[in-house]
Amino acid sequence: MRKSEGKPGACAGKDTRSARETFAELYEQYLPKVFWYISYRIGDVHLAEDLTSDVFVKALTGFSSYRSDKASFSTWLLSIARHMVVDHYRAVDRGQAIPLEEATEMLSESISPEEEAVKKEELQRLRVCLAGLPQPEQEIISLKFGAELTNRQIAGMLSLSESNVGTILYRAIRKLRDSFRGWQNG
Amino acid sequence: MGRETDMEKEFSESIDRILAGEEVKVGAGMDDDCRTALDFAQKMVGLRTVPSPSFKAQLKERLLLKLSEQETKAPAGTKKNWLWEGLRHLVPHNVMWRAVTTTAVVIILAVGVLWGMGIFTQLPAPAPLAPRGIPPAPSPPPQPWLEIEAIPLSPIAYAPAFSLEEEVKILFVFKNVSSEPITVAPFLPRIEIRRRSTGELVRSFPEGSEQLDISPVETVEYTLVWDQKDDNGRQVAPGWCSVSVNDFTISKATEPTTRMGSWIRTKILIQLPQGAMEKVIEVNQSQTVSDLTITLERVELSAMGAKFYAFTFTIPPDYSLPPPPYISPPPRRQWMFPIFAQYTVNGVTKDAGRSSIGSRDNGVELVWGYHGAWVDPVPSDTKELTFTITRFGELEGPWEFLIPLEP
Repeated sequence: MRKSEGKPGACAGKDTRSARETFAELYEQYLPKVFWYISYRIGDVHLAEDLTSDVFVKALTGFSSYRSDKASFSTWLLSIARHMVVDHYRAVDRGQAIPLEEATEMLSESISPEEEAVKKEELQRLRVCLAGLPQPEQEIISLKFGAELTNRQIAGMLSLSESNVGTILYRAIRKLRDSFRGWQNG
Repeated sequence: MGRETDMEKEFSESIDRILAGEEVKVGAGMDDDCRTALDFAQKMVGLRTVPSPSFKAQLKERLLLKLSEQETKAPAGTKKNWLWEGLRHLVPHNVMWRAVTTTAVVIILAVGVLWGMGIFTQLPAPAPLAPRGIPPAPSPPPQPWLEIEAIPLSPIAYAPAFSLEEEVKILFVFKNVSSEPITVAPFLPRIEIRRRSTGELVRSFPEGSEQLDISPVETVEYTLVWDQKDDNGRQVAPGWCSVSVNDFTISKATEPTTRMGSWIRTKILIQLPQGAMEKVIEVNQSQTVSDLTITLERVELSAMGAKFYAFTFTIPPDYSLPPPPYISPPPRRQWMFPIFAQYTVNGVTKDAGRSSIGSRDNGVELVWGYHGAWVDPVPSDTKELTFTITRFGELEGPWEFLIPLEP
């Protein structure tokens, strides 16, 4: 069964490759960072994908409000992601349950099953440790290791000094390390 | 600047190098504590997950479609003003800053051009307004430009449910949403039907030997008919099943072939021949195991499945919830420890999977059978129903509850 819709001939789009390339480059550049950031904050891969989609859709529809003199594109995009995460948690506060899915099923394809099993377990434990940190430390870890922002960018986003971000980051990673070691040592 | 501050600064710089994929050399100013923290940071980077390829491809398609819609809806002239308004803001006011940030501006300009003028849309569009002298962007990754829907053609309007032994019909809709012809191979791709509760493959429809060419904006439909038999010719037991399209390629003349994994899923319910029990049971039983008390509060039974609502107000050691109201997002420890359960119907045990999570003021709400995590319906003639939480993170159960079925 085959059904046509519209007129294929109406599609021009001959000279769009360059723009597509640019879009693809931007998409490839920012998608992992937004996804990683949300994954750190949420912990559920599938939910992180949903929220990542929402971030990009919102960015697309709201691009006319973007002001480059106010913030860089990455900061603006991450701000949307941060608000999305906050909205998500507000929804949780209202009593909406969140599906619990496999949080660690999408690891690198180039590792052996044994390595993957170890990595999954470590990742899960890392998230346990991360969730045990105070909220500001979780946020800074997520912005650093998820969004890959510089300390200066994080400082601007959280209204902190750059040195303060560095201090919190250092402290948070040591806490994580100690917590993680505690698990490894039984 | 104090030694501690110097070390923190060096530490941060080292992390930036790790994130950039560069080699990190530990300076003399770092002590063992700092070095091991840096090693751990390296480990954290190595543990990051990646978005699935199908997710990336589908989101890209969705965004491009949305661009098309915006372009179509915008009145004539609006788009150009909108674009130029955006571009105006993208132009830096300071000459020095402009020189330093040329690369970043180029990217933002491209976004403005792209999103503002709808270059991606399938309507005629002017040439991109990228400034002269800008090096061309690298080639993009392959894009599928294909939408697939799987629609159960159920006789029941409100649910994808089929009677036992009834033919299951699923309409697959393949739509080329790009402006170029695409080829899907093989056609049909392999289709798999799995039991939701166990993930067990019950029926596999092998891939076809042909390929499908789809013109731009064209839609191709295929109706799969399943006799509810498994691969050994036996009737599949009632319950929820998932349907997926697997392992196929999408190719275009201008781009490399893209290989897709498991692409899309829908769910179908094979109904119980005797009908499903439909009632809400207030259980309110508590069980304490390993110092953890869990209360099974309520069970909701319907034709679409079972839902079990539990609550724990005893937070396991090392975990705590802050008092509300939460100023910042509340901690999300819950997902960290998977909570598994089973339920037994007339002596037959079935897997309820992992719980969904909700937070309350003083504890954690656990729900099995929440949206997306379907638990099979319970037969109407059930005499005994038990619900057992087998594991709560690292704590072994069981927390077992006998559910009163009689009023």
